[in-house]
Amino acid sequence: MNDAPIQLLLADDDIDDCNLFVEVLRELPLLTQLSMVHNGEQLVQMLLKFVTLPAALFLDLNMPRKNGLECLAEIRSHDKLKDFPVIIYSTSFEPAVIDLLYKKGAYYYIRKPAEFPKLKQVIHRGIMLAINRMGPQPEKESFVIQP
Amino acid sequence: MNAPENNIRFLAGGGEMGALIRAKDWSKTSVGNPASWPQSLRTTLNILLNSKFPMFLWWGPELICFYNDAYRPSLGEHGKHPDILGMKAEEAWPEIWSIIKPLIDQVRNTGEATWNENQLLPIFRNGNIEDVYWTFSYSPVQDENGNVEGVLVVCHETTNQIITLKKLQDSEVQFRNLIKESPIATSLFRGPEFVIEVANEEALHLWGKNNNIIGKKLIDAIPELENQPYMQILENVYKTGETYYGNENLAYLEIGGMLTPVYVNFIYKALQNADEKTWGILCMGYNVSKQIEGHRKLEDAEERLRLALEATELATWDLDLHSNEIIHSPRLAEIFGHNKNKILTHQQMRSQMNPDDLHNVIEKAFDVALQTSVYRYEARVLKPDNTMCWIRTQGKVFYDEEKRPAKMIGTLRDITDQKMFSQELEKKISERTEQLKQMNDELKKSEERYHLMVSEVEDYAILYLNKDGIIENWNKGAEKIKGYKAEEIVGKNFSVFYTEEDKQNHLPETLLQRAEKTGRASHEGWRARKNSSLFWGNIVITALRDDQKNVIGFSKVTRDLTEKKEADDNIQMKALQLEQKNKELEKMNAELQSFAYVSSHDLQEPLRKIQTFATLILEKEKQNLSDKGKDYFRRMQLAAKRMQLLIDDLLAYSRTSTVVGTFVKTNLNEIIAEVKSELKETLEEKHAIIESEGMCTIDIIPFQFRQLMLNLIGNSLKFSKHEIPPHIKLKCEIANGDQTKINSLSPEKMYCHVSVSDNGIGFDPKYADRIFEVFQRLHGKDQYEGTGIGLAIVKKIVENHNGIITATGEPDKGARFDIYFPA
Repeated sequence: MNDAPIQLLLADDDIDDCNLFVEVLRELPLLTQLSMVHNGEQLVQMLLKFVTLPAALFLDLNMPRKNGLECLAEIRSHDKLKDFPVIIYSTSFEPAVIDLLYKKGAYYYIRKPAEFPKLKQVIHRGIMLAINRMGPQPEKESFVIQP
Repeated sequence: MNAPENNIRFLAGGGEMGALIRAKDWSKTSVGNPASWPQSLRTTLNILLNSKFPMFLWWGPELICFYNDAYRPSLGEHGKHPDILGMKAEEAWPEIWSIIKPLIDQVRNTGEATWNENQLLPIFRNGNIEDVYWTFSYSPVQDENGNVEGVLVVCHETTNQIITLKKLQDSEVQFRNLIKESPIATSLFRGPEFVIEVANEEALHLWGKNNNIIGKKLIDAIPELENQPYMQILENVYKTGETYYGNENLAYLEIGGMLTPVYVNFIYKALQNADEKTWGILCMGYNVSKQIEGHRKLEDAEERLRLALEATELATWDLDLHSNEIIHSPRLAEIFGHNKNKILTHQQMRSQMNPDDLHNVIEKAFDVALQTSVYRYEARVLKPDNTMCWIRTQGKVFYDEEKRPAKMIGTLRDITDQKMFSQELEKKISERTEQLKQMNDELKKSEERYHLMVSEVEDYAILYLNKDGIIENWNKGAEKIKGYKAEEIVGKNFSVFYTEEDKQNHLPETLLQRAEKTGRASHEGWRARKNSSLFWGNIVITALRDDQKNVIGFSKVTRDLTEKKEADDNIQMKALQLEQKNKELEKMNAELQSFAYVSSHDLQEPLRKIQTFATLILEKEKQNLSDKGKDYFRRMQLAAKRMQLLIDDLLAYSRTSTVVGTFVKTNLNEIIAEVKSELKETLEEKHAIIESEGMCTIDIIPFQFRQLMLNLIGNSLKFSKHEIPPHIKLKCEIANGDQTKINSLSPEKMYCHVSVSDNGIGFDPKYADRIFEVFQRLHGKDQYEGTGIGLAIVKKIVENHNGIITATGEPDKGARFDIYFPA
């Protein structure tokens, strides 16, 4: 039994979504500790400061100053962050965009569901996949996390 | 040693060889001392030594050699003489032993003599082995008992004869070769019957024969020579030995089956023996027919010239100016209509002349002649038979020592025919002139008619310009179109019809130049009327040329096409406007699509939040809500759900037009499997059956085609009948356009035909087109959920695949969708 909380990072500029994420974590049967950033620039600076990296990053795509895709590209450009689990966390669901994100090295994709119970499900699944992860980027088939 | 003289008396005489035999010590040879020689040897030697004929004797088993003086020269100088006397034959004649040994053996064995003529037996003499020819006989010499003791050789050297004969043969071969190679026809006839012994190619060619005549008698080989002089000439040459030279003699030879005249130059030369006896004739010659022919032609030409001269029928005369006595040729009398023997006086001649001509022509010509010495006139003569003829006289005055005219000599010719001819000619010319004049008049009339016609034409301005562009005439049409009256405009330059701008650009001049260069210039453009208003003119300018092709002016035809021009412009403007409208529409459409995309994309977020918070309230605050509140909440959720569907469909729809898809070879089964898995819950819930047949692998845009199948199958599931499980049939086949029976497809092209049919509620056929439009719904929202975009997306995707889609159906009898796109 490991009592240390699971370190998670959320990059999202939407306060509602941030609050919902916190609400979900509170209800999950997991001990977690969440850090949040609200724009892309902050995100990369912060990631580089970590001594121990979080277990996973939940990355929103639609952010001011630097969007999710740009952030992903920058994260993967740093040696230290090459194998860091990035889970895309977005409202939209564009097949072409999803393909591109996988190519750029994202690990998983979560489409924010409309129902709260489903939201809990997908975030839970995402965290479990991230912490039990073995090896680098998973297969494309398991890229999109379905509720 | 002294041999008793009586014992060797048989050796007495015998010249040099007799002395040598006597002197030789024979005791060392196998024949022994002469005293012991048998009688047969003695007798033979006696004959041998006393013979003037060359003889040789081999005696005894060793064939000891003896020979006489006559034989001695055959041994030459520095050769066998005198060493071989008393030598064994084998040692004496080693060089020919192999030849003579068999002959000797033959004689000794058979006892019969041999005979050889001109036999080559090379012997050593004069320091060399020489080729020597012999005619000889070996004969046996027998003893009393008939045994052959020796072989007597009587011989005669024929080397010189043989060599002479050979030389003769060589020279004859050379001679024959010489004949063969000769560039002129050469042949040799032997004997008094003239057997053709040799004839070279040239000779055969000349005679027109081939070489199978060699060896034949001449008269047999060339039978056509009979009755021609040549055989006689040959016989004469043969008889007399005198050489005959023939020059340009005509011979008839059968050449190529035709008796052909041939002119030849030739020599017959007798060939004689040393005793001047003729044995043959050498004949050399060549064909001169061509030269002769040339000659003949020249002669013919001369003859013709002479005849031509005679044909001019010139008469001559000689007039003494003192006595007026005239001497004339008989022809003159004939010309004057008399017998040619008639002698006419000068007076008689003058009396026959036409009196007018005598006075006006002849006397004047005579006076001129006395001045200039040249007499010349043409005049009419009245013949005794009252017919008339024309004569021409030409003469020259000769003067005496005091330079006084003494006489005139001249010619006179009947020129009636010529005169008649020229009179005929004159008549013809005047007739033709008359015709031309008439034609000219006709032309003038027709031109007048034409001008009249032109001037009356009203729809066209027809005018003539001179070559500088000055207007020369004006018709009614020109007045009507351009507004000028004839008197106002004729004489002005046609450039007045052009706008200022065209004038500055030199358009009028350019058009004239073009017409001059190419024959014709046409142009359409604005032209000015007299009142400065403009009309749209269609102008054709044609260059007019004279016989020498020089441009003498231009015709100019102008039509007023203003109305047509305005109509055209109108159409063009309308088309332009339409095009612009279309562009605007396209732009608006694109904007709309991108707006639809962006807006619906951005709408997703707030909508999702509404939904999320709604679920949160229902989950966590349920106890605080009345039943009514809960109901409102559920309705709100349903509305939000509908909105979400709408947004998803709108996004999918705009995605099909904004995102460019890539075609990938895909098996339709894979697509169907994906769709089935996506619809799994609904399929199970409705107990639906999907049957698929002939799913092929084709070029498609995979994610779009997936959407298409999803929408069509989803449609079938949605519009299924209550209580009846949906049965959906999918079918795929490749067919050419012809087979599909659809007009808008190319008949020869191959198409992939995918059909989806169901057993659902169907639809009224009148909506078959409408159902593909965006937001078109045939049913109320409460009955069947849906946004009315699904089939619009389907249509869009089919269009993206360059295909077409049709829908067929009837209420309650199911629906069927057919998709065709290029395979």
